Amino acid sequence: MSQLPARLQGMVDELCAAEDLEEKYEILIELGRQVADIPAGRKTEACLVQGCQSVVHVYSEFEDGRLRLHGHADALIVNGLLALLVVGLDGLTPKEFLEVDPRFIEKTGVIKALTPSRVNGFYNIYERLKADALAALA
Amino acid sequence: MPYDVETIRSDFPILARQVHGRPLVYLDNGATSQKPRAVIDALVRFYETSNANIHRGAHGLGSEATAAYEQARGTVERFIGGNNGNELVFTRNTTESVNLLAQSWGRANLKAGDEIVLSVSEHHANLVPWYMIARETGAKLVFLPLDADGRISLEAARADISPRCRVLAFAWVSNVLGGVNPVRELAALGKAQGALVFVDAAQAAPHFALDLRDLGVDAAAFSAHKMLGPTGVGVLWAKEALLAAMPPWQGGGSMISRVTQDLVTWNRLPWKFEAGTPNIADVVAFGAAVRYLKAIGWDALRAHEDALTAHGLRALAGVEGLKLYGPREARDRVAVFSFSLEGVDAGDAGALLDAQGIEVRVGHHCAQPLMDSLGVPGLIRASAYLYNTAAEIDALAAGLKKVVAKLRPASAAAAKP
Repeated sequence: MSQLPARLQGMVDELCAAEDLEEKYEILIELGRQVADIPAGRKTEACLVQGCQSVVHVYSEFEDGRLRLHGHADALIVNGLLALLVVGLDGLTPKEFLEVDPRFIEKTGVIKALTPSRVNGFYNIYERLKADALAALA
Repeated sequence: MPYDVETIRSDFPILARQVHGRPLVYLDNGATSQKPRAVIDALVRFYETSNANIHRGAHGLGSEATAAYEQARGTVERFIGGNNGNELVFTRNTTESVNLLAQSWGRANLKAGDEIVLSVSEHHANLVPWYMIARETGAKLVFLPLDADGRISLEAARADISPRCRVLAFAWVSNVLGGVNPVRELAALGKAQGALVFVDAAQAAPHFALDLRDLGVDAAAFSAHKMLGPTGVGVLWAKEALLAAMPPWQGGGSMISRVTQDLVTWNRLPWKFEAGTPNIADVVAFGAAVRYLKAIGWDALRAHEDALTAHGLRALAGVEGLKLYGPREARDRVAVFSFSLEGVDAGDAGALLDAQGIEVRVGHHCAQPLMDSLGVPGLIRASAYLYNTAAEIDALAAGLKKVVAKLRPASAAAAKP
């Protein structure tokens, strides 16, 4: 797996270093709390991520050749998973974004404990942002 | 013999394990129960010593397997208050039992304008099969509301069960609310209108004596896996005259008496409804589960669970922001607790409890109409059984307090004095 962007690598390292699952969840909850909520006007059907158990919205803006990522989930642990992507990958060029393998999540040790719908939710958020990165390149 | 929960726990190998590095606190018994060594051994012993197909062939092993299977049928039937031999059909699970009844009896008897009366708290297993046959026949579904305590309202039932009611089908115990519904009174209302009365006993059979013949219902269903038995075995119990009048549902081997190119005649009860090779080994092991429950005895089991229920109600009342659904009084419910935590996502709470080794269920609990009527997206459910302890209930309450401290928004916490 190629090197992760520094900010994401820091978050992943922190999750990997956690002693147990309870501490991993605490880190995700804390990451989730740090995600700025998105404007109500952005919580539209178009920004809704399908296939999550909770309500999740994400969207991106393409500025000066870089992707600015935004999103929010109504459950804190999901918001923490979302933070790995919208905070960890924010400000990358589309090309840099596409070089990131989302399976980094499997190294953190949270995946095996999460319900399948939450795992799918994480990948659905990624796929949604990936589509934006591909569109920006086109 | 006094009820020694530690001795009982030692019969369940899985209870000694850890999850996520913490001792397992298993409180998802409403979904499925754990299995005692006696059941696991019976399953293995059958495959090691008696395995053969049943009801056919001319060899000793086959006779032995057939005897073990039919002996289990008798064991289960006597356990639920029957002793007829023709009234207990083995299925895959409660869901399949309801489908059998709805498809066989429903297709032969229902017509446009007829009413199938259910309650809003039904598990999807006792709703979707009726919905399907209603769509097919033109019959209409009627949903009885709940009273303030979360049990089926008798007052509403008296008003809503009309001469058009051809089926009255409801759960004895709600899988979400844990409330014990007034089954005899409801059954009498249905029978007074000449309806078929079916009770979904999936959440009742693990916890108390069913005495089905004495209950005033025509049919009932439950699953082995919620009462210490293996998965893959369900029961449809129905009065012999009812089963005899019902056409077969699934066709195939074993359920026939004679097959020619022009004509098929049906086997006698109960095999008319058991097409194909059944789940022989799991049925035999279910017999062992029933023997295990009998050895404990209902009185001892009830005393233990009632104490757990009362303890649970007290312990959960001490968790800030917790809203418990279902009956307030221990005497009206089993040890199933469904609740919400103010300002906390149920999925987050379930994950954090799981990280502490406490296994509960979160979500809609296969009862979406109930969630709609309560106005909640989902609930957290902790469901205890005969091997759970007061200390485990305390661990749940302590775990929930931790969850609240970690997840509750500061504003919600501050709003409470």
